[in-house]
Amino acid sequence: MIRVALAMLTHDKAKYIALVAGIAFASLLISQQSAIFWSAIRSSTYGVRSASAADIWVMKPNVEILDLADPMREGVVNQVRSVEGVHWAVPYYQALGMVRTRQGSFRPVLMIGVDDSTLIGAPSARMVMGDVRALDQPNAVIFDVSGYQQNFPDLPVEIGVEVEIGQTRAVVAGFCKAPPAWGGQTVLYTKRSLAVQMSRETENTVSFVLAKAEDGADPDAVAARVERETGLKARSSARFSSEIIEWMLKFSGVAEFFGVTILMGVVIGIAIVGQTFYLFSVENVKQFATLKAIGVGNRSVLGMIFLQASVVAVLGFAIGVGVASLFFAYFGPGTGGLRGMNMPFAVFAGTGVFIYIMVVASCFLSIRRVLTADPAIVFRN
Amino acid sequence: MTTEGQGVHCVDLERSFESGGVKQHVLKRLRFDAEPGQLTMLIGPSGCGKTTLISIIAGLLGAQSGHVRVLGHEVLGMDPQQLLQMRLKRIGFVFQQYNLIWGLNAAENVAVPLVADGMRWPEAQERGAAMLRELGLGEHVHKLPRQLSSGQQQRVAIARALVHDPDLLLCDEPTAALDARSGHQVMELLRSVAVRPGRVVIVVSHDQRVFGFADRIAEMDDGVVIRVEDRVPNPNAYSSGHP
Repeated sequence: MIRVALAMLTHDKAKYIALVAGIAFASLLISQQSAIFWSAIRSSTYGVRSASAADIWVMKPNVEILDLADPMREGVVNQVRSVEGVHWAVPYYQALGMVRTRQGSFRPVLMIGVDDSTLIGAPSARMVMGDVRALDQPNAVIFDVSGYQQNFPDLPVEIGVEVEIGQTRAVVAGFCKAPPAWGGQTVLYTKRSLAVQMSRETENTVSFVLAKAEDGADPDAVAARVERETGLKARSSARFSSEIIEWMLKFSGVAEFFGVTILMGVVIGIAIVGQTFYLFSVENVKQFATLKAIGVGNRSVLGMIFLQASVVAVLGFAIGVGVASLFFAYFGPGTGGLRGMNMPFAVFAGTGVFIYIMVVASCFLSIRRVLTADPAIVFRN
Repeated sequence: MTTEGQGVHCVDLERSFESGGVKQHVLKRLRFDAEPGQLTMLIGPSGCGKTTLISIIAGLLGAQSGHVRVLGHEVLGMDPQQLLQMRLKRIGFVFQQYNLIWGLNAAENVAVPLVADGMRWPEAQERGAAMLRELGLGEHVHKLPRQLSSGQQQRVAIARALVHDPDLLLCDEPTAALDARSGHQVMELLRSVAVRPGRVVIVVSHDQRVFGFADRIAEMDDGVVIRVEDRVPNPNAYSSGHP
């Protein structure tokens, strides 16, 4: 009865297209908003992920997230180094700086100063032009390429270009890919000494201490020991990342903002998909009743309705998620506020599961109507 | 002559519906017989219980009491699965509004009962096309219902009802939605193709123009059969509109 089910589904082209378009729209709304939400939350832990050589982050006890660091004196690095179980420890500095554009106006940037000697914390895996070792050159900085293009549209994307940051001449030594800071600032990497100079900080020149636990040692256990012995706050990278995400969800407003949008997507999706599919099935009650009168059993009728639901769900989902993917493929690599955003597989799969559940749920409502339909209605006008 | 085993026999059939707390007796100890090889016409005013009666005969509706013996089987109380099989294999239906599947062409529509019974599409479709050719609709085999006139759609519906060679054909007001000419053609088709030895044909109608096609007329009123007339079919006898 597959052909009969598909014929019933597609014979009214306008309704069929409306049904698929409704599901596509719901899929687009849900997947796109979820992906933006996921990308925004994930970008808040970018610094932790990019300093993958370290597995322990040490900071002042009042610090909760990367972007709200409270710098410390340089002596804390040796304090951390002296704790048993710490293999090595290096300073990490970040501060806001001002870049002067060609037109003379200023743009804020988030400067990340990595350890001068080891360059731990530099974005080696995400370089699109040049090499992180170029930071050893005088006044060298590595820009996020999208942010650079946004701030300096008149400048070529090439190594050797000179810019002014905090009244200091800086030379672009390479380009990387990095999401913007939580506040939207472009990220640039340099040596800690230069970042300190450009931010004109004199005393507190260490935002975090990055440390590595000795081979075989549990980073969480070593972090706990660092806390006990130094009085500072220490977290393993994994725990710090999850605490940052937790903070973002709790205090940044992002959860409410995107939550409402995603919820709207879900509600609109349910309304569109549920109502359209329910009406579709109800309109076909008489045809199903005819089949039941002829002798088609309830199981076959159920199979036909599930087939119809599956076809529109898969088609609508593919179109909706496809459009959302195109959206990220276009805007992700660009220089706008959506740069660096993408759709993870979890959002893709989650949207698919949700859409299918939604279609099957509305299918159940309509099935009830179809299965309980009196076959004798075929004899009525 | 009564062939008890193969016909349709209703005895003391009662059926009522409750609506808004009011019980309405639609069939009242009704007795009705239809024999194989004959076209039995069930006539009567609207609301007299004709549709309820054929719904019960088809096993689509139950009854409060009485006996309904269809093709040798007691229908009331029959296992739903058996009822389904009986409808699928032994009963054909012709509806007033044709009830064709809009997205299927004529041959595919005719093939539906065969496919529902497990036949593969290509074979069923070929049988459907052959049935349509037999009924003079050979040029419309690949047309969708919307490309056919009302009369042609009803003839396709008749082909669908006959394709599995049923022993009982139930037709509900098959000419009600058709003009006089198309209605006459449809009844001629039923008379010539559907009526054959061993097959019971019951046609519900209050279209006086087609009464002449009947071998037997059972007139219903207020839930009972008030008159049964066995007669020699004469299609032109009632075409003027007089019973």
